[in-house]
Amino acid sequence: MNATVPARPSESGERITRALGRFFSRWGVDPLQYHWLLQASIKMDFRSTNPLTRQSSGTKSALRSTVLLNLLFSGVMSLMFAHMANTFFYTVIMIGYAMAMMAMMVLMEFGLAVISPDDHLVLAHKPVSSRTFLAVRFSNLMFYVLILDGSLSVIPAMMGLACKQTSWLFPGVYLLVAVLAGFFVAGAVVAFYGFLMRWFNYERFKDVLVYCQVLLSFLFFFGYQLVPRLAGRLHNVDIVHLTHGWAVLFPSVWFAGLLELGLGHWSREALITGAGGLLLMVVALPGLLKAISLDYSENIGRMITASAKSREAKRGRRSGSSPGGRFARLLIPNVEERAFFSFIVTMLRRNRHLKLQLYPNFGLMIAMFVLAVMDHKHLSDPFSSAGRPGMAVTFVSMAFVLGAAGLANLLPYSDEYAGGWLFQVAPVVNTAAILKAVRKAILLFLFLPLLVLEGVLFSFFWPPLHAFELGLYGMLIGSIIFQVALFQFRGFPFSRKPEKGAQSRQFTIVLMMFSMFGVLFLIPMLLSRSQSVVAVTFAIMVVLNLILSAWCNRSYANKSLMPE
Amino acid sequence: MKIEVSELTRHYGDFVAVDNVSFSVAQGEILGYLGPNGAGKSTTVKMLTGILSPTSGRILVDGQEVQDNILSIKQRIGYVPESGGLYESLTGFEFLQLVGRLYHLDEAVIEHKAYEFFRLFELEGAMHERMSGYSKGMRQKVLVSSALIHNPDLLFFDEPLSGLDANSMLVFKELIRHLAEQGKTIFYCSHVLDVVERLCRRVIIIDHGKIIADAQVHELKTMTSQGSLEDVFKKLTDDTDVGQVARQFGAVVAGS
Repeated sequence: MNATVPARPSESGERITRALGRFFSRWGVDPLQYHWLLQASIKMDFRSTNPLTRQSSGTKSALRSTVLLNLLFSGVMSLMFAHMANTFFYTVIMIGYAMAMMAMMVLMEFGLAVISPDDHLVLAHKPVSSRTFLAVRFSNLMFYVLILDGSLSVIPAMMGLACKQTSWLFPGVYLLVAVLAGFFVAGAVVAFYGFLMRWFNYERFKDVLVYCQVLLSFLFFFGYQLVPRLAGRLHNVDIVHLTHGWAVLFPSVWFAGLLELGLGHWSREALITGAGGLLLMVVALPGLLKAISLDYSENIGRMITASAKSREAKRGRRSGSSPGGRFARLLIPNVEERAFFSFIVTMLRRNRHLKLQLYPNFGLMIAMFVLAVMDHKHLSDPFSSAGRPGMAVTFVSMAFVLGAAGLANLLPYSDEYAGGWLFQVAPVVNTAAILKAVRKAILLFLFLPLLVLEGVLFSFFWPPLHAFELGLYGMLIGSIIFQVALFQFRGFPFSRKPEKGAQSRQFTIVLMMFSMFGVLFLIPMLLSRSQSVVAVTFAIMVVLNLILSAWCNRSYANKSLMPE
Repeated sequence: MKIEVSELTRHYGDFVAVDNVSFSVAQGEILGYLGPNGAGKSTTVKMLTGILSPTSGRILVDGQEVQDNILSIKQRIGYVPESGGLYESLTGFEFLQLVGRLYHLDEAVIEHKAYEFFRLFELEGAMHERMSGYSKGMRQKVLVSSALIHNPDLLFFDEPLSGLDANSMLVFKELIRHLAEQGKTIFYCSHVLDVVERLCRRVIIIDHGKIIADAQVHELKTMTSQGSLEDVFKKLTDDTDVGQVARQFGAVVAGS
């Protein structure tokens, strides 16, 4: 065991949490309990998960890289827009982006910090009121929101000085408005959680969250179709345009109105939208949070216990050999590999983090189909002699690559990591069986369904052979990316505790990768010459896959699978 | 502190976890609350400690409705849950410090009591180490300490001996008797029936959410003509032949 010298938190941190406690006390929060619980929760977040190895905490490193990626990405976006937009529209775009990112991050991984079943086990029988509990969890979340929001807003705040009609006040006012917008998003998500908790048990609640996340990420990906199109028409967009159209429904427009008021750009539209933003922050959000705070603890207890009871009730319903089991025995004669295959397939069905990464890829195919129906000229057949690669190639490749990268990234983690001891005591003879099982699972349950979906949908526009060839191309590219990503994998699948920030980092990396998908245009461009070229290229990709697979298996077998 | 429970019921959807349960526990009494797995023991304890609201029925602690006075009653309750209940990335000392602070104890008192608990449980060498490295028994000792640090009047123990070594168990059993002598009311849930038999004069046995027995241990033995609480429990909750079930298990293990 590793001794930890009792450390006193920094004095400024203490002063801040005490002041916040006093501030929240007007709503019935116990200021001392608030102070001590918040100090403890932040301390726990930043401690190493493994005190023996003294590794830096996963939260700290994930947060650091997310902050860096946020700085980079928001910097690139603000560079794109600042010189061509006025302050209002620039703020709508940049704050809209920051709000969407924040919503994704909070939903993806900081959301459960608010529910926190572990906290419930420790605190439910202690004299901590529901409001104090919620205030602590909410403040813990806001701590991350401040850091992430800051990283999303610092560069855009500076770049705003290049906008039309800007003033030297812009950076300060922008930062203030951005922080308000970030708090609004996080508060809205927490309030949404609070209402969901009233209706669902814990397991169902987590499922609903996954569906919401899928929807949000889907909208986010679509944003990438819209933003470049918008960029060409920015010169004529002003506050009057936006506030008199459907755009007024977007909260980022209201916060941009606030910014205009802060800069002294008074107008009727700025007053109305700014008042909307203020009303949200001062009246609607506190009202919502107050409404959920009274029965917050009770709802957590009820939803967790109800989940356990429904699991008990379901136990014992299934028996006998299922068709799926018989199919697995046929497909995978090796017992060890089959055991891992069944385990991974079950996790693909039930692990919410995995579902979040994998489901949107099916949405991408459907989205591409819908876009194609709406906009025919962007769907040229990459395998016809007259055709040229376009968005279709990017989307299809993206669906496979994102699915593969998502699974590879999440393979070590699970909320049920505690069950990982099983693999450490089981006499696993052939560790390569683990990777083989993972590959078969992704092939059967992600790649093949994607291929079929893509082939069927795109056959409406192209000859079916070409439609399926594109799917096969995406599958082979995705598979190569997956093999490469597997080199990083060590330990047993789903045996590590998820780390705060890890998914956000993954999500941001994926966004960064979007620019690189252009490279994937090139290969089909070469293939379009003749079908024999297509066949040879695919054969080369298959061989490359096999070589990488064998190499990866050997490398994995040489790694120590035991915890450090 | 006296507990009075009347017609307590808790539903989870269609499932009735606790069904119309009534009993009382006097101040200074050690009550054994027993039942097979899934009988409704933990749900009862969760309602008594204010973690869960009952679907119907009343719980009075010292004459006060639990649901109406939840924080003031929690202030006087100590609870050792069956599982979980610790922040593993804190050190044992930090955890006790946090718990003491939640009860608004004076810092000097918290520090003194924490050091003493660690000394008495022979954990002083590990008190500044993170609990993620603690054994199950060490964690259990911290849990017990955290339930006692604020000197509660009413104690709920759910399998408190789990993971403790033999010496610590002896100390703990004596401690429970001593606490009862001080006038503290003790609600003791366990499957270790010989310990319950030695500690508790009175037991309640619950099965499928309903109370099937509520009497002094010796009365139950007489009524059922059994020699031990274990036999009484077996007779009241499950009449299958234990030997035969064990033989069937053995056959399954051997693969025949």
